[in-house]
Amino acid sequence: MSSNPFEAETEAIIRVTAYHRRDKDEKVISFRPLKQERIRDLLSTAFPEYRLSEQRGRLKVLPIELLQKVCLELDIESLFRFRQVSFRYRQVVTGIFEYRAIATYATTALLALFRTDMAKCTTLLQLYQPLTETWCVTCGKFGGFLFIPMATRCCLDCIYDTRNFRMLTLHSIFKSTKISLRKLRTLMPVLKTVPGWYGRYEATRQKSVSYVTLSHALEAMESLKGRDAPEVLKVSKITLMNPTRTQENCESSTSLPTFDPTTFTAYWGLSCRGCAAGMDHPMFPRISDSRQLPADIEKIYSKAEFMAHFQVCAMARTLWAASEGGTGDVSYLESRFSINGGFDPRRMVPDGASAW
Amino acid sequence: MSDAKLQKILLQSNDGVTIDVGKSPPLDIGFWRTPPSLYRAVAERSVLIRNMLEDLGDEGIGNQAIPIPNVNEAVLKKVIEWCDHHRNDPVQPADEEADTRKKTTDIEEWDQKFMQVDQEMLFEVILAANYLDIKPLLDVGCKTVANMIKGKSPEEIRKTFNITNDFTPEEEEHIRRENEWAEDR
Repeated sequence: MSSNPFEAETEAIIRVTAYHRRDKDEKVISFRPLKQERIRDLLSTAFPEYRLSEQRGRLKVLPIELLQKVCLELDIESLFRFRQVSFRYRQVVTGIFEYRAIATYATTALLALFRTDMAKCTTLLQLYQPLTETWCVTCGKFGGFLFIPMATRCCLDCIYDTRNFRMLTLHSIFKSTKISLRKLRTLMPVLKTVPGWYGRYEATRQKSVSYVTLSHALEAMESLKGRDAPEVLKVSKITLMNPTRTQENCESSTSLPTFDPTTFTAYWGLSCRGCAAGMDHPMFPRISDSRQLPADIEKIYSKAEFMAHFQVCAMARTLWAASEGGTGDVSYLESRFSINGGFDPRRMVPDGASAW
Repeated sequence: MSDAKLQKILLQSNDGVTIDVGKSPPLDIGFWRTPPSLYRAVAERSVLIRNMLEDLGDEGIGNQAIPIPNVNEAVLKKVIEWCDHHRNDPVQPADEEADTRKKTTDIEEWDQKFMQVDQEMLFEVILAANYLDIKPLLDVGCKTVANMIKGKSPEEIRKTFNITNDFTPEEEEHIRRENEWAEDR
């Protein structure tokens, strides 16, 4: 794929010595991989066989580029409905570059948006923007996740940290403002959680709950003006008293790869196979003391960061040398941990450092 | 130079009608009294016309009408009406584009009323705005069309724009499966 030999080697190094921590993705909204693959095909292609579609209807006077401009103004849910109108509009929508990038690489995020009912509050560009970014907006480190209500890229640590994103249940806003739930839903973007396992300790959530971020709630209250001003304060007081829990943030987030528009490729956060091998593989002696090891294992890098790490990580270099330029099989040197994509084969405590 | 600025700007639509940019209703206080720069401000909402005026220079135009071959009279009048109302809007710098993109649906009240026309006219205005390179008007037009699509089912969208459903049964099956995943887990 890459003609540049240096890039080719970088790709090979990453293929051999890096892996993606799939266990992290399970802490937030996630879907079965098989399902995602099937959907990706449906979404990223118009239809296998091309045919000239007969153009009828008043919209036909607009050329494709103007129709696509209209599409960029639509929320994602309406965009999908528009895509199902006729053959021509399916092609128009599928032809949008940003759309193809999202349908190909951000399938999880798309599914999550639909499932949480946020697809009607997010536009294509609002989702495309974080997809092309690499860094967490709150801490500046590599971020492999999307906080859905704000459509911002962030890292798992910032999702766990409850100070970053404040959310209110829709019901608590209803209680403090006495505005009907139906009206509230029209005023602000409401996120409906999906039942499942979430959070650091993968606790179960069986019921669906509606959440609104504090900033969206305040914005909506201010737009009401006048008599609602005290209520605005009340709303913020409530949140200051009860910050949302980690789990709720996890229920509003999903994993997101980093997309490179110049090559039309994307990658998920990289972790070092060498560091994982250093943890429990009998072939490698433990260099540092065991209390420090988990920290390396927990690290997730961007491509550039990983290559910098590769330069200093003895274990990763050993793996790379053993692979003979990326051609040989080195799975015998690998930790079960990294082969499983971060899922511990013995199923210890899922994420806590205390497990090691 | 100051003499040249007093020129009026004439536009000629594709059906041969010449329209004086300065003769729109709000300026109807006598031709000689209206500051001539206003005509420019109105006409220069269009990047195409602005560039043309710059290229030709004031002498180059003289009292000739600028032909606008893609736009008919009714639409051109409508576009000039918009330009006239928005003549004092600040010109948007290119780098702010990303920011304004984020805001959707919110259209000014005047623009909303302005866009309350039949669909043919609306699309014609969008096409004219595209041709004349009037970005804010194009944005408003696209938003208006987007608002007509928003929150509707495919069948309702077809009805709105008089589109026929030309999917084959096979393709319908694809779409049905596509919709399924949005609901189940």
